[in-house]
Amino acid sequence: MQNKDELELIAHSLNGDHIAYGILVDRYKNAIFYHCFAIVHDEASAEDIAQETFITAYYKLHLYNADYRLSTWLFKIATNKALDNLRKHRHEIKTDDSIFDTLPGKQPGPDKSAHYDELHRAVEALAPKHRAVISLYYWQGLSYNEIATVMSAPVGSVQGWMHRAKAILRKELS
Amino acid sequence: MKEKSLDELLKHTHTTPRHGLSVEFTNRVIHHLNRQPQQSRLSYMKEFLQMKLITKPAIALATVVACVAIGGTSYAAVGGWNGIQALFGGEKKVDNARIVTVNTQNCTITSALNITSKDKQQSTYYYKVINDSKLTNDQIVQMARGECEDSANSQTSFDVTSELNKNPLNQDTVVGDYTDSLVTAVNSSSISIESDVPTGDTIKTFNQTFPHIDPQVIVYSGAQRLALSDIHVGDHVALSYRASGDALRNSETIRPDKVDTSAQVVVVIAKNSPDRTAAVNYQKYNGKEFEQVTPCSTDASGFCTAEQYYSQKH
Repeated sequence: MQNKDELELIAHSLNGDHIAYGILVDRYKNAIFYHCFAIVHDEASAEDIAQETFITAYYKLHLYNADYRLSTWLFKIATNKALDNLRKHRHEIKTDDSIFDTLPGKQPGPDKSAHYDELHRAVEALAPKHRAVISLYYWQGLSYNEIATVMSAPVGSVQGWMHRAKAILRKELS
Repeated sequence: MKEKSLDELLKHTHTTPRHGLSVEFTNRVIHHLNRQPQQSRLSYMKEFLQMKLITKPAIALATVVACVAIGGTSYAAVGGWNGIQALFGGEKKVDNARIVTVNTQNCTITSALNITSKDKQQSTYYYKVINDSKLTNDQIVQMARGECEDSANSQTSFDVTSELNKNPLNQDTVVGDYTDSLVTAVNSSSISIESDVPTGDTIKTFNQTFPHIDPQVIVYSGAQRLALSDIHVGDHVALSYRASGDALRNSETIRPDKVDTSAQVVVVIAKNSPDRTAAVNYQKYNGKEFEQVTPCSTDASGFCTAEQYYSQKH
């Protein structure tokens, strides 16, 4: 549930207060950027999509349902835009292993690094929808219910996608 | 690759860009907004605040309804969906908790402890419920059954999705669906529903009319294929739709009452889909008040969590 501060920022943003909206952008920009990058695997595109996400969210803020976390709604818009970007540029996507880094402080030990590299490649090869579910669940900490909201799908479908994605990963890594 | 190690690897394999966001990112967003002509959105603010005012009691009411639904007999109305059964199999007291046994038939619950389907005909699930929890054994059983039904529904929807995607019109444009819906009107070209939509931890009811139904709409009940003429007022259904143009963009809203359905086309109708109240409650309480466990010898209680189970095996 939203805290009072955030609801006030949203209300002020709805009244055209761009400073209030800037505070919300600062709060969620990195999470949205990382999530977009997880789907499109291109830094410039991810930043553009993140920017479009916040612009779209501003103009559609009156449609936001405050029963959900604001971040859930932002992830929904960002996921739609990222998947849409992949559809439009399906033939232009190229991946570069060198762009991947692990989070600071989460570097695997030497004995595990090969496994992490393999997993990077396996995740990269997943269908975009599967990558989105993996990103939202494991890296952005959303619950299955929240992912269902983001993906406009029943929770059972989300569980199924996750099941399918992990089955593919297990096969690739076995 | 075992489930636990895959989970651990995924948690720590967050792919991040080499460079962070531009320091000018927020300014660029605001600059873009400043360039657009300003329009008064005061009415939106009022609507937003008004929505908040009426939402809070609505949530409280919905929570009460949900509690009644899992504690009372109303849930029996959907029991037996797809031949699924879940029965109380006993209770065992352990330190600071109790273990509740649930015996099921035709059920698969997806979790770290049983990610792959074992014996769907007869499976036993164990739940460790903390002492502070007010959940009754009956509620645990009903939530487990709800999760079984959700899982079975998901499997069927997978099969249908495969078929759905054979039509190029559906590829990349199937944007959403409604579960837990009651048909209030239906004919060969349109359908109206009253739908329960999960909203946070609660469920809200919306009315929606879809003026277009795909001539090749897939209609089914469980594994049985039906025709559109088999759908009647009063039926409990789930439906999926594709959208295009503005309707596709409108799908970004998560307020169903704000979505323009005129450019949405119904492509799947599932009759007798299970009520999701119990499954939503399973997700709500799972990991907080109860946790699935499995028999093991390494814990004094005789039961291990997924973490204990996999750490002892590896």
